[in-house]
Amino acid sequence: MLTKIILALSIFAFSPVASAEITGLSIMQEQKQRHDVPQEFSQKKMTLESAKGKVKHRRMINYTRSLENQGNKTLLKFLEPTTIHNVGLLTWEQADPKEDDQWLYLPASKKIKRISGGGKSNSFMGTDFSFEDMRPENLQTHEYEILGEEDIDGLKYWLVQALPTTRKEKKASGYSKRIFWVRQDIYFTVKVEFYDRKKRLSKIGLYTDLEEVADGVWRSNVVSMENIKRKTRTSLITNQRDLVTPLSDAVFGTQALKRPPLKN
Amino acid sequence: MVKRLYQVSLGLALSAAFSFSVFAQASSSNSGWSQLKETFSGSLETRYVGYENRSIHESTQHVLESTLSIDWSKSLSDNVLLELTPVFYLDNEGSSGKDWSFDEQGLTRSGATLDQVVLSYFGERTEFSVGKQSFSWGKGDLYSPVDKINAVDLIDLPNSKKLSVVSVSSQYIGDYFSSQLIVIPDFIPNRIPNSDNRWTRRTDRLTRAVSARLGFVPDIRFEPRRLPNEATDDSQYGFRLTSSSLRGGWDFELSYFQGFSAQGVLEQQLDLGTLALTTVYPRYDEFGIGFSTTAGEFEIHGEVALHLTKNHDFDEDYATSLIGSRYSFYGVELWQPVEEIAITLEYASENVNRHRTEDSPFLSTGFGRALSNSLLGRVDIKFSEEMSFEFGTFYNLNRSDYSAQLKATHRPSDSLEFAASVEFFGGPSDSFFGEWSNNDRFAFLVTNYF
Repeated sequence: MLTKIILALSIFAFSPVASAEITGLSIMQEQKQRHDVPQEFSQKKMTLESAKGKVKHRRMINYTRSLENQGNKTLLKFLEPTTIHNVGLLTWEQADPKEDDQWLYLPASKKIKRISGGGKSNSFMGTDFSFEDMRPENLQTHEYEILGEEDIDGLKYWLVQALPTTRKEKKASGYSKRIFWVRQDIYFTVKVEFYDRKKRLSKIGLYTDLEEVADGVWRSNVVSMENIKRKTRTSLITNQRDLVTPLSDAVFGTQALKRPPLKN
Repeated sequence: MVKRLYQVSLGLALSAAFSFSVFAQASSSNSGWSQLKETFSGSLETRYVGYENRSIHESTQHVLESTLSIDWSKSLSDNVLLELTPVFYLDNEGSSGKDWSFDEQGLTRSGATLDQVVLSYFGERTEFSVGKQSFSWGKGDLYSPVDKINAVDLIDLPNSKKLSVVSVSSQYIGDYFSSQLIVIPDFIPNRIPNSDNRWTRRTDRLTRAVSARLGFVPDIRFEPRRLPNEATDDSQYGFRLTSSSLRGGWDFELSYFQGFSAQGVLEQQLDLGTLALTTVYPRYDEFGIGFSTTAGEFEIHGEVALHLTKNHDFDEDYATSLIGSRYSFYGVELWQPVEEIAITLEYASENVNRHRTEDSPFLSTGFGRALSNSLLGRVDIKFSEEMSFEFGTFYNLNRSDYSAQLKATHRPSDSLEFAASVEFFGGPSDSFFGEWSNNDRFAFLVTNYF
């Protein structure tokens, strides 16, 4: 018993978070370290609810690869409805101050178009998510501060505030600040409040139906984004996920954008 | 038949050789390009077009047409996909025949065709496709000088549409470059409007030009077009190199195409006071270069196509260039309902590097090369996912002739779309667009997606 206690204390003492003072940045770093994986494939169903209660559905697949010393590469393809079938968006993130590379493929014209990354804060394909909401958190372009702690249903949460710091991020982001609710036991964000440039609460994102998809790696299977101003809501339901099967570099090449959606 | 088999075999052999030479470099690991499934979708489009005026060529002022397009694809194995797109046309104008045709060589549009029938292999870094298909090359948004692989159906000129062609394509996707080789064993010319179609060219300018040269006014007779004879060297070839990460933030494209002018030229033959005109199709080489990049919130693109006619009796050598930019405004505060305004502006120019030989018996058909010194623009205004508005225009700076279109689109659901548009044409009566100033029109369109 004593051995177990000593072992537990030792692990705690040498864990990177426990050994240093917990800060907003350290929480976000630990979250990234625990849950980021080198690559991921997922298939998602999207539900868009209008202010009048009208519901539309989308189905899409998403390939992501995290590269050391480079930004993430993400390929997103729509499967349904017919009007946007095989529409593809490829993003290569670049380190600040370089602009991200982004290409859009529209099957009607059969052309791959380079698009300006300036529209980062804009709605992503008519949903309540913006392009920046769909990207992994960029820790280099924000400062993080712990606002406090909360107990909800017996679980402890940190409230972490994120503010854009670089000139480019301040200009490109649609948010003046965001507040994250991070679950302390698994370092996973379950709620985010988004404040617009006029510092008004504009959106609330909820991350539910949590699942441990690999050792210590958690994912939310249901993400809903509520737009307070527009009174609309978009839900993203993940129904297939693969963190294991290797993805080749070619998956993230521009010419691959034209290929039909393959894992459908 | 033997010759056709030879052409197809040649195309297959060349493309296969190209594919396999690069396939050796591809890893055999799980690429993620697997698990192709069967899909079925399509659209039914019904369009009413009303013309303000009668045309000297055509009396019909009200056109009703329907197009049914079905997309079906099926995986034959993990990496092999078969795609079929049968298309059916029906109209009250007689533009679409009642026949079934596959090769798109007909002078009129068939009532039914296979717009696409493609068998594709997807390797990790290689792609190989054979069948009737269409391609898009170039960086231009509204016009691409290098985009010449497919001919175009010009029967309804403002709604011109690419004609798919039987071809073989091999592609290799590299880390820095991607390359594509296309072999087209059969030549398909542009489908131009018949003499009873309001979009046909008038012959009075041609008559005046010929009269001035001959000293008298001849009768003009159009002879059946003469397609390139079915020899073994009928094939057309295209090769393209594209880069996306060679230099950060820039895309480049280099292309080469050797083929026949899809528009053709008119061969003159004077016979007892009658001038017989026959459309023939000169062979040419075309070298293309293009780029696209971004600067802040602007996208900037450009291309140049150098067109070299094989025989200078037939046609000129010329270089067509295009430079353009796209800019989007989002969440326009001044006008709250507007989600996005996207503006595209392009300028197209042409330089003739070598003229036809002086005593050449060949003339231009009057179609094509209309954008020799022109501004092209388009504004897309998106009010919501359901409602959008667009304005597009071509303006020729040489002759001040133009075309303009205004279109409003409403999508009440994912499976239904309504659109209404008006189109205007203007300019001097002997200019490209001015000749159709009688063809101003409005249209209503209903599209069901399934």
